[in-house]
Amino acid sequence: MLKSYIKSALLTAAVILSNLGAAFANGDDILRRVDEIRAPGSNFSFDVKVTTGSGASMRMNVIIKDQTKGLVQYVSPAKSAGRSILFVGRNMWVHVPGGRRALRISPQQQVLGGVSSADVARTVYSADYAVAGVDSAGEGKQVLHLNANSRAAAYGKIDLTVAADSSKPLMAVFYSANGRRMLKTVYFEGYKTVLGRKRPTRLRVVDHMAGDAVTTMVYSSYRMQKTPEAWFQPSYLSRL
Amino acid sequence: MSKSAHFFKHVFGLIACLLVPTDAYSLEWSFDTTGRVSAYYSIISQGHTDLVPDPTRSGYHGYAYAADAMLQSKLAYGPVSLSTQLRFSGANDHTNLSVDEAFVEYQVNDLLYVYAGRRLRSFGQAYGLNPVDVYHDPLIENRLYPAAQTRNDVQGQDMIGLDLLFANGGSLGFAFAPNMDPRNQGAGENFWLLQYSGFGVGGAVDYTLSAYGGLRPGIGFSASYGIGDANVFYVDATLRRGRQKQTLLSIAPDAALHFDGLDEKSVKPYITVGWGHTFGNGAGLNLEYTLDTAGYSNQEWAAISQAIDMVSPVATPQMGHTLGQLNRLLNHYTLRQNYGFMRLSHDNVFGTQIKSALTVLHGFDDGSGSVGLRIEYPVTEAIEIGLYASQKYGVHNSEFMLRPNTSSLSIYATVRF
Repeated sequence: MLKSYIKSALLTAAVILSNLGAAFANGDDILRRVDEIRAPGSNFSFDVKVTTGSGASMRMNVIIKDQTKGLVQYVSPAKSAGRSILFVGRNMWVHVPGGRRALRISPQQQVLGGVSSADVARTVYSADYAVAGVDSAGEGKQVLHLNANSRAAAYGKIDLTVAADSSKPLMAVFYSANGRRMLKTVYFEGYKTVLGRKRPTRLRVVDHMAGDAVTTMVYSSYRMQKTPEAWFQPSYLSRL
Repeated sequence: MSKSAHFFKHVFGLIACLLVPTDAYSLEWSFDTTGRVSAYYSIISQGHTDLVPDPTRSGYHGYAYAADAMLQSKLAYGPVSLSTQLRFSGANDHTNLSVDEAFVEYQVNDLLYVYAGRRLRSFGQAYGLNPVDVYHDPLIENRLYPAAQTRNDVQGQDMIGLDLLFANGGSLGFAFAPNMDPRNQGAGENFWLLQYSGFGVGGAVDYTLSAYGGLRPGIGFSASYGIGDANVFYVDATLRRGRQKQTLLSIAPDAALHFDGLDEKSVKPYITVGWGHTFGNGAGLNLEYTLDTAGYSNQEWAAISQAIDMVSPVATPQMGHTLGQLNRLLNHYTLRQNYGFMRLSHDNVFGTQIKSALTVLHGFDDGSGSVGLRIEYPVTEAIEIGLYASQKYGVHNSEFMLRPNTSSLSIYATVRF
């Protein structure tokens, strides 16, 4: 009797574990496809315009190298032009021309409205987050539950909603480091064919910490670009 | 081939590689220019102190107004560039044209840069007192403007140097500044700096090691470390020989002062440790503690206080002469050894475009300090107006209460193009 109980319990556990494993493997594949949609390659650049609900805006040029390094150069407004942000792995520095030095900043530091430095410079999720589970959200959608794989990631947890058929990212809800507080929701919109496939060109950011204020990020001028390795270090920022 | 021959072969090979120009740049002319015009009006307190019994005669005013224009430009042709910063300022009763920067840089290849001319350079992470900002004397800053503008609007130092960047993110720099004189007082020194910057702990820590020559040779260290998504820890430190402050040895009965030298044989640690935190609503907080052992100790400060008391009020020419000596002795940005610094800032107060920053520099040795509150509002994308209020606090003749300008209220506007 006991033997048959143990046998059936082990069988059930094996079935659950194998399903879970399949779900995680599936989740990793979905996340990889999401990253491929957001980032056209390992080395590329684009322009982004960040606009708040009150009309304030900033234009930036972003260069990505090896997926994990980012260089953000502010183009406008005049008071911010020349400022640059360097992102290497999970470390960030800002160089303000007048300050004459590169200062380390936290990824949480704001750029404008509800948009943080990490939101601009980070184009892939898989570098900082791991799939904790996948749920069906109905209407042909799936939700990927992503957990930060280190304390240095910009957010503790992300619930990423994607189209089940194409893995197109549709919406992402970002949570604080302890995973309890909802910080912002990002909507991936304006899908257009860019460098050979449909990619979102507009991100609408709803900042729950600021009364659901809306900030938009509009992407343009994507191009594949190889940049010298030496550019991605704090000492170089003064030469940009 | 001997081991040393192998070594020199490798060294010469490396040098040859570094000096080979690459075609990473195109042989085209380019010209960039940016500029700024600022103006301010300040109301400043003007009560007399023991050190400055007659503020008006000593050059203090109850108000100040000034306008200045700054023009930065960079002209480049292929690997060669000429960078300049010109600044014209007109204050209460004088005008000044300053060539803050004018240097030529040659990019030998992707990794090696050599330069010569006047440059503004800054190092370190600290927001309050920065030990490794060795080319700069904070006393000359006009703190009415935001920190980046304040640090930028000063004259650079004449130097030659090179920067070698490594593909692993490290860099090596050397610069020689003949006759370096941050205060422009005509008392320069031949200063050199050798610096290596790199990453440690899997890239989580960035650090800079420095060696200094000149009148106060020594070493420097800077590092920063990010923890989580919102915290940054940092340290800036130097160990340099001697001090810039003279020691007051004794006071004669007729109030004549006797000074020691600059303590040239001892090594003086100067360390700032700091923590930066970004809150979920975007506000930023920096807390720093600074130990400057080249500052005056309690015993030295007691001697200085006694000297000030002895010559107040001024009754004889010797006492007036001594007061002048004390004014020069105490003409430094900070005077004591232990300080705390706090900066609380937000770029979008209550979701608006208003920027604000509250700063406090507190001296732990005598409990005196300075508080500053800044509020800025962008009228257009190019025009910003701001208010800056400062208030010093402390007991009679404490460090921050020695001079008349203990409080101020300023309004300013900046136009950028």
